[in-house]
Amino acid sequence: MQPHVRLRELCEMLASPTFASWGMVGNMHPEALRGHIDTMVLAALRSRPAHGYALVGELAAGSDGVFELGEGTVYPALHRLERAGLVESSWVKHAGRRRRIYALTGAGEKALGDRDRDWRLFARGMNALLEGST
Amino acid sequence: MKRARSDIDRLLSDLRRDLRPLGRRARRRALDEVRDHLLSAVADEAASGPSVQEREQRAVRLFGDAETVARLLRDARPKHRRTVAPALVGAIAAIGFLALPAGPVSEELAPRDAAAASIPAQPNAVAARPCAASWNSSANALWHSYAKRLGSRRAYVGVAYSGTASKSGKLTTTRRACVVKLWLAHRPGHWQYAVNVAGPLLKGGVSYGTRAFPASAKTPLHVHQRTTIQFANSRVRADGTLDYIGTSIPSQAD
Repeated sequence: MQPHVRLRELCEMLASPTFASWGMVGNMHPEALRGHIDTMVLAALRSRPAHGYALVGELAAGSDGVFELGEGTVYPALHRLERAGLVESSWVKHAGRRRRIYALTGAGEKALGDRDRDWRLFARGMNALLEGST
Repeated sequence: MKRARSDIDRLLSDLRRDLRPLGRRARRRALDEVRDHLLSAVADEAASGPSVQEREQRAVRLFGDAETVARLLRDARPKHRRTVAPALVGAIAAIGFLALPAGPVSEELAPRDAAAASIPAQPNAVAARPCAASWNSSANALWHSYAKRLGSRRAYVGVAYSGTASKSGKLTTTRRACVVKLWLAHRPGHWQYAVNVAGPLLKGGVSYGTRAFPASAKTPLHVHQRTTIQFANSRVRADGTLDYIGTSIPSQAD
């Protein structure tokens, strides 16, 4: 499956009424969302290195605007992933100002693969349950 | 003519303030990233027509509120362990003192050494629990936001006593109030702020102890506090309020 399709699937699920019913209006509670944001950021970085603003665009395009999140929350996710060694970053100069570019590390690629597998397993189990209950 | 502060300037200024606990390097990195983000957003919208001011407003709105982003950024990074500037501590102590309810306060009496720490249990001792509740009251919203800004996750809750000493050394409590100490490091024994919060107050009538303390003793409230047995651990929630845990801590951890 193409990365952007997986990303869209994930975003649609997160914006679904089931998740929205956890007490959030419009989008998920940040705490509940945290692990998913990290996965989404890793997925968005899979195709190429990017800076924060470009990543936000990637995430928005990947979710068809279904999943709305304060753009600023992508930076804590990036910093967290960097601390975990899943992404690495460096400064470049752009239009006279500093810009931080992020890229997946080997560990990040592996983590994304693991999360991808977990996600499929989860989705398969959930689908089986939901289909069985109708 | 001086240029008016733009929405972007305001957001960056709020972030700079809220990210203070991170330390200079991490703060600068975050601010540079956010600035680049916002200016990129403004530049991207240029073709679509709206004024610069409208584009800036939109970029800031989409970015999200500075306080939330700062909190998430602080959570994403290790706590900064710099020492607290003494002047700042002084200012906090002063503000904290002013936050106390008005009352007849005599000189503050405090033990000067460890031997003086053996103050007997006070008969009408104020427990730490109501002090935690007091911190969480709306009257202390200022301190919640302060704890939140600091990113502090631990606190000590206790009671501060003030009193007068007779010539025979009899110590009479004239006042007591809650003290909350914010813990700024992962381990005890490091940087803390001692702050007073408006809390349960008692005026006069209770005597305890027989040791004379010189009226000239000028020790900070938290030193006084160390001598009591009523310190308890509290967790500072993300919104700055306290979760009372209640496990007392040894005085050396102070």
